Amino acid sequence: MTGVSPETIRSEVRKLRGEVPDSVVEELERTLLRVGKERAITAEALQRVIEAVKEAHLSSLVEPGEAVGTVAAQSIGEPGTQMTLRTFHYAGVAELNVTLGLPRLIEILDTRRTPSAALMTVYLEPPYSKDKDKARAIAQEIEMTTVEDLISEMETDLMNMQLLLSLSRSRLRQKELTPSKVKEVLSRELGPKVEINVEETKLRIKAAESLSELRRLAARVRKIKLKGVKDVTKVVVKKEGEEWVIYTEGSNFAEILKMKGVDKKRTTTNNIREIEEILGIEAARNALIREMSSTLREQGLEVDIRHIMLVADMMTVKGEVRQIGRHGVSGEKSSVLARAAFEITLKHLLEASLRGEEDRLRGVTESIITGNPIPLGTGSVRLVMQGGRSERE
Amino acid sequence: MQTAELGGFGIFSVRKYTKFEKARIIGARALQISMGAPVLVEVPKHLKSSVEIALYEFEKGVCPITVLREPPGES
Repeated sequence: MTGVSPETIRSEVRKLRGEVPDSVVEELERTLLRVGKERAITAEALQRVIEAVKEAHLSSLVEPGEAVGTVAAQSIGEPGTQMTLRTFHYAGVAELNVTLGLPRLIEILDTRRTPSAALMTVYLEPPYSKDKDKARAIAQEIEMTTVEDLISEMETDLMNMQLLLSLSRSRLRQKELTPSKVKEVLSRELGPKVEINVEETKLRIKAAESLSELRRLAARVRKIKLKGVKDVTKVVVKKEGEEWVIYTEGSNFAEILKMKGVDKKRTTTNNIREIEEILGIEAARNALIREMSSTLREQGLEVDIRHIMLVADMMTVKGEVRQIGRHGVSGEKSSVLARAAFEITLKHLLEASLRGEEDRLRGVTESIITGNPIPLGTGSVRLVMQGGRSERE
Repeated sequence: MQTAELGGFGIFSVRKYTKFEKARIIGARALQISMGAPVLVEVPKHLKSSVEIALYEFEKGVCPITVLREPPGES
């Protein structure tokens, strides 16, 4: 018996495109080609396999009316009970501060503007990613250095109303800075009225008139950024497979993307708000999915990605990332009764009545409150009687 | 299986009845039959309950009840 040629297999399988996901098409093609080498596949068998795949795909689709939201909530909620409640510090790769488990999941769903442990993964472009020293150099450029990081001592000279900074030589060398460079930055930051004198590694700053002003100045000087990217407090260079990758604590995505040598396609942050602002809503959706599933996976919990995608979709449909909760998905429901059932019942009802809001009673919550069948599953079906004999034939 | 008035909403169309639709159709038809509605096919003797008869009718494709589907959209 002769089998069909690999070309026929390919062209026949590719006809499935559009009906079945591409990944399934590709897998089917690969498997059929492999099997085809070992033994002959007849044209009839090929058709039977393709039909079976089509059938299996169609029957695995979720049916209209299925309560997918509830199923998603349960599917994430149940494994959620097994997650760590503790926030781990300095866990995982390279001693970076990471939030894990339930606290992180809550943080993602709340879409806090600044996550408690912002992290960036900075990928580099070829010449830099292959060479440790070049990667190090970029990492140096990224890491934020403040005056505080350099001084070994800071005195407030009350007699002359001056600040006396002693810079550490070793740290200056490490950060590739000189006292005169520090002076330059300081005078730019503090304005021309402030007088700064350099004596070897000591800086004398004259400006204050009163004691309280001197104290304020001291606090301000400590925080002045000398070099690096704002908010990036710690940098770790690590080899990942063949390339060097920079991990940072603290996130400033916009500034990092502007830097030379940074691979803009792969570099990422765990701050979803930042991604939304810089890359847009679709990227934010992907980031939400990625962050949620990796948080769950780290805890050894496998949640089907479709549940997570549904949550991410709900959070992003309106064109901006909304949190799950009071100021987002739950709090902005169109139905008054649904909102009242969620939180602060009286306030919602009162305000709705003042505004003359209308409730179409089409959601689950409203239907339950009013004692109607819920519009899900069998409750979403509208029956009609078919007319006379002629129509039935 | 009845397929007549189903589908028609582009990628949202489903060619067959969903399990929910099937349940409602058979349920409603069984109620009619139990209250004395004429059965539309010759029913084999071994079928006893109204639900069994409704199911048989449904499978034969003569069940006079169908569903109205609305295009997905605002809820």
